[in-house]
Amino acid sequence: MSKRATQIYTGIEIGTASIKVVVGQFQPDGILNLCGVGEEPTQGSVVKGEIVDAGKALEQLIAAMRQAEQAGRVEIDTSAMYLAVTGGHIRSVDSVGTVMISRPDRSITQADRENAENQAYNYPFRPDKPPVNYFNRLFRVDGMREADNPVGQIGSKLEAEIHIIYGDLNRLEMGRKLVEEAAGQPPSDQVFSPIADGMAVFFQREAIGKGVLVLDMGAGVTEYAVLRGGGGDYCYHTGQITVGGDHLANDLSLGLHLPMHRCRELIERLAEWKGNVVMTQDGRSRHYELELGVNEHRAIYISTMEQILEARLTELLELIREDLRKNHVTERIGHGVILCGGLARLPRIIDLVRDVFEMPAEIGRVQGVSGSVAEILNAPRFITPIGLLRYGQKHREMKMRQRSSLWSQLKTDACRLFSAAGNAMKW
Amino acid sequence: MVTAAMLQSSIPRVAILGLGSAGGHIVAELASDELLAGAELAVADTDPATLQSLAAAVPLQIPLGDWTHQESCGGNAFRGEKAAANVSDDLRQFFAGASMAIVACGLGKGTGAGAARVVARLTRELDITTLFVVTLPFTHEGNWRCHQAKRDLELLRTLTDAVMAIPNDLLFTTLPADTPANRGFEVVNSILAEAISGLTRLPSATGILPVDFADLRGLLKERPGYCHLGVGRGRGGERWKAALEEFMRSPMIGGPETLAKADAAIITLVGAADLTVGEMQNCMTALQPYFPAHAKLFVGTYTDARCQDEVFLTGVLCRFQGADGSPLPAETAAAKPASGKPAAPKAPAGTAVQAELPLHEPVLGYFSGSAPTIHNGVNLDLPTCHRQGLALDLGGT
Repeated sequence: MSKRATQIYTGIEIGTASIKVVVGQFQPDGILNLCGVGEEPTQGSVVKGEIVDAGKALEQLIAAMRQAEQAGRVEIDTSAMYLAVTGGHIRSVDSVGTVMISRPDRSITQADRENAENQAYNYPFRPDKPPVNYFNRLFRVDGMREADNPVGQIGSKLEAEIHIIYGDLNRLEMGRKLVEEAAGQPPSDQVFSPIADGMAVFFQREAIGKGVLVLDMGAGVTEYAVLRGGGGDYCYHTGQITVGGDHLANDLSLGLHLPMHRCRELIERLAEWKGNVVMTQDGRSRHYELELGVNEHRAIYISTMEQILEARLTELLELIREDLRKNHVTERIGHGVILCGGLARLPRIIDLVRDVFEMPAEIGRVQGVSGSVAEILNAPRFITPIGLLRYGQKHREMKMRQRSSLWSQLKTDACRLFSAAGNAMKW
Repeated sequence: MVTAAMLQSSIPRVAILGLGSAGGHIVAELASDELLAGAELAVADTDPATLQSLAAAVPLQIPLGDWTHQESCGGNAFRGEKAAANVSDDLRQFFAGASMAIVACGLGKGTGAGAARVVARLTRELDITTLFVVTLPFTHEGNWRCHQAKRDLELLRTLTDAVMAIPNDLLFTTLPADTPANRGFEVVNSILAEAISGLTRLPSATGILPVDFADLRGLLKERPGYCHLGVGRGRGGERWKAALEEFMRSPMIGGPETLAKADAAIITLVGAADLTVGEMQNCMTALQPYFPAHAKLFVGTYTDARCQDEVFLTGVLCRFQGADGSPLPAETAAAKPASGKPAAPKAPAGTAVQAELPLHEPVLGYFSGSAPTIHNGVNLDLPTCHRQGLALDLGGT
């Protein structure tokens, strides 16, 4: 018990804007103590969530890890590192496993449930597209009744739907290899980022009986997941679109004919200029003074910037909305939208999300975390790495349970063997 | 040294199963095909009467009737599913050891549609490459049945990638109206049987220009729509020409117009060892102009000693469908992203929107050189404001 309480977990996110490493421990009541945080800007070594310059990214990852270790005066435990995966190659599929129950009592048993689940897990993936995460989607009895737990229900047919997230082998391997080179060990597990977001945001909050859309808008990729039950319990749908903050900057750059670094700065300091991501009435009357040279200025209307940003973000959100509709999961979102990721702090983006999805929306905040500066806890971009720690804890506990059951199995086997030997001796 | 016996043993075993009466009749037709070697045939049905009538043609039978009290399913697919699940051990035994399976059935009724789901799950579990050849009912069989068949098809496609759906209605496009009704069904069955036997030959034949099952599956998986099947055979002097003509007349193809609308096709030419390069080239070249320029063509040539002096031309044509059920336009959307979203014409009347010509050269900026983000044929890396043709007020100096 004491050993488990002091277990140090590490969450690593190789994001498009920056590489983030968080190190933390869990208290017995589940509260997370953040020990150290490290962040290193990628400066172009990651584009659209994919590593394009492995050498540079490796240096940055090592630097971020050192930073986290020094800040927390801890050493990263390489046996409990968890990596977030993202990128344009991530896809998902709903696999269905079916069991016909032909026993006379037609009562569904745990074995039937496992049988159906195993059938669904048995989805034929191509060897170069391995699965990353599995989540229960729902159980259906007799083709219509949905059940959280079908065991004990009466029915003649049980279907288990499993949501499987999969990706491209080489690109998944890339991230693993990078961590292995930096820390000497590959990460214990990988998880699709919005799942980690859900786990960070929904710890010990009013139980989410209804589905929630977690929207993670980063610099390179926007990921989304429809989750229920605290994240990690049920997942109805996931997806990604490789459009993010870089696209906003690029749109401004091409639309306003400004260099890219200026545009990044513009977006960074949008609030200072009282700019928004939705068009405002008086935007035409305010402008941004751009220094072109000595005594030379160019005035850019705030409204033009807002127009470009609104067009891009509305398009992106509408694409996601259409994908949710197409997959019939919109009606499963009863709780609303939780916005995470670096773009969540853009002024009035939450209004845009609310308008497009026509449901309540809020900016995500990590729950049940202590021991760190408010700056980190309030920053939506740290939600994913913090969620990785929660995922890591769950993953490790599950593994421990499996191992202990294996141990007890071995022990009983050994006892049986000894008693058999004893019996033989008696004879 | 490769001996004939070794060749014989290396021929992969193909298991062909007919489900329900529609599938049963197709398989019975197949049984009379002398070219079909290395394939094992079986029929499974709930109705004992159908099985009895097919007993002479297909001796291997899997009766499903125990569960339904020797009655048919009465159009209820759930009953069909349960009946098949009841004998899943028998089905498993039949498929065991096969390297490829072909399942024929008719959708829209009970046994075929229901049992197909069980078989799909079973073959997936056994890890056998399986092709489902399903027929969709004639429109005159009733709106309800057609609707049911569409739903069955959607369900089946969630279980397996390789479903070849063939609408029976295609038959009317070339068959005269005064054809006797039972003759109509016979034609459907024999065409399907010939096409299946063409597909079955693929693993045992020697490929000169190989097209394999993976190509077919890749095609069926991508954007499933409906398929057209055709076969033609020819012998004598210009035998490739005769085969081509027969192929074009094939009732399930629906004439040259269908070829012009096809989005993809797999064409295979099979002949004996005396098949010449000239024949191969002439035949394929003659076929090309029938297809639109964007169609994905997979062309294969095989030799098979059992063909003797005949050549066989087998074609599977696919029409892709969009999510809304309408055929997709040609894959040109990706090539001209500037026209991706027709926002300008959608602007409500009365608002002063100045029309802008689309950019002649798309500018990617930061993302030039990176893998493009293509979504529904639109390159999302291009600024939204440019794609939508927004008029931007750039201000002055």
